[in-house]
Amino acid sequence: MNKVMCFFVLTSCALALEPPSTCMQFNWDKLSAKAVEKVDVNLQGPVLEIATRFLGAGDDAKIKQLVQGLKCVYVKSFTFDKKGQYSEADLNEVRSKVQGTDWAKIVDVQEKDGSSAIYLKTDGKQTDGIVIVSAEPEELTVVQIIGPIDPSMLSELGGKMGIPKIDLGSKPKPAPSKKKD
Amino acid sequence: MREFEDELRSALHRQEPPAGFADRVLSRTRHNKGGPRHRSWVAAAIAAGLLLSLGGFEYRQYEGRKAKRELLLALEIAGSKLSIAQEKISHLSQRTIHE
Amino acid sequence: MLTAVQTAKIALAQSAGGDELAFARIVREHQAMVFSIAYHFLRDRSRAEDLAQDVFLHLHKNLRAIQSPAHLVYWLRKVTGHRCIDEARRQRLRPSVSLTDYLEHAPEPAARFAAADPLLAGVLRRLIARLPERSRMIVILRFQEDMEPAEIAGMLDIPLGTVKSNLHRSLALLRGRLERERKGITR
Repeated sequence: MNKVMCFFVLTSCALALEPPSTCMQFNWDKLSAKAVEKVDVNLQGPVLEIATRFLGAGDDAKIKQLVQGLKCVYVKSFTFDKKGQYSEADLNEVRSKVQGTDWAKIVDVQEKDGSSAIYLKTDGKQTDGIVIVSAEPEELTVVQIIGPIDPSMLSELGGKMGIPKIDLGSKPKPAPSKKKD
Repeated sequence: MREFEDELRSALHRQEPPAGFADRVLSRTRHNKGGPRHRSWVAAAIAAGLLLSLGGFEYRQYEGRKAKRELLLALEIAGSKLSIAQEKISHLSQRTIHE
Repeated sequence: MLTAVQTAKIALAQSAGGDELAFARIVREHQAMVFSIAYHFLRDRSRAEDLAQDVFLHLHKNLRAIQSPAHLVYWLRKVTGHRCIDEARRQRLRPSVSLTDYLEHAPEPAARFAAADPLLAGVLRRLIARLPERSRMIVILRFQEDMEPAEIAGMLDIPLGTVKSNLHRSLALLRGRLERERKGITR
């Protein structure tokens, strides 16, 4: 009996130490009811593997490389028909879950009518997850990608698939105030 | 307004389909040309069985393509938001240099 | 020396008579138009190609009903437009994927971005894909195919006033959303 108990205790400990393989889940019911458009992607486990397998040659090959080994891809995006449909409290629920020892906030841009925050999780050698919280007056987007991800490669996809490609080194323009951790 | 409409025209300019499109269309027109054939009940049963398994296969294909589309969409949104945040940082950095 | 219209008439007549090569010429001449309407609407290259193939298959079965090259263009646009809207409604695109699920992509020709600002072009296509189905098709027919509102109204079987007000609203919506995107990108 003692051996069985030890086995369960050790297994539980091992499982507790295992990095989470699923994305953090939040309750979006309130915002969902107010949104006029929604994007809801929650891919993990077998479904994510199937999606990866359907990536083919050509440009898909780069994306296949990017998503290799990912455990979870999650996007919630809400578009509202007017401002003021979500509050800081709605964002704080997300922030509180990513503000822990595992996550580092690497970007925090606050503007008059919106904000952008990027959190990274690393194991010391590589990025093991990224969370992006983008708040605009009439749109709120939360992105989570758990697993080995290369943020620069993700950003490199800009210009393809309709992602805007940003040319860093553009003319200086008045910039918002910024807090950078 | 005229400028915005021109921008829309530029964004919506025509694109060629993937290479070999016309050949694939022709291939399908040739395939559709076959007329009705007489089938025995055995052949009909085999055909029904194939259709069922094909239906299952087609469904899995559909689900796979759907999952792929969702994945690409998620990456598009992630890349877009990442780029926007990077641009904001870049502008701030350049402003700091120039002050 | 035959004019383009005469050549097109001959190709139509030949393909209606079963000439495969003539039909292939017709497909090659109009494939960009049909595919682009479907792609800009569905924002999914493989689904756009499937739909475009179906349109040409349908054409192949109905070649005898096509009266002239101009009628052919009208017919192709009409069938493609209606099938796109039906496909979108069947798949319930807007609630589940806006940016339209889409973004399946294959290697695109180098001349993909005819626009001076490729970044802007990509953003605009994405914003257009978020419009409701009918509005989306109206915008595509107006700005990809340069069709007049009256032609669009006839093609989609809706009143001219509806097309005009729809266009007006869609442009205002697109401008507003683009402005917000620009503030995020350029400020």
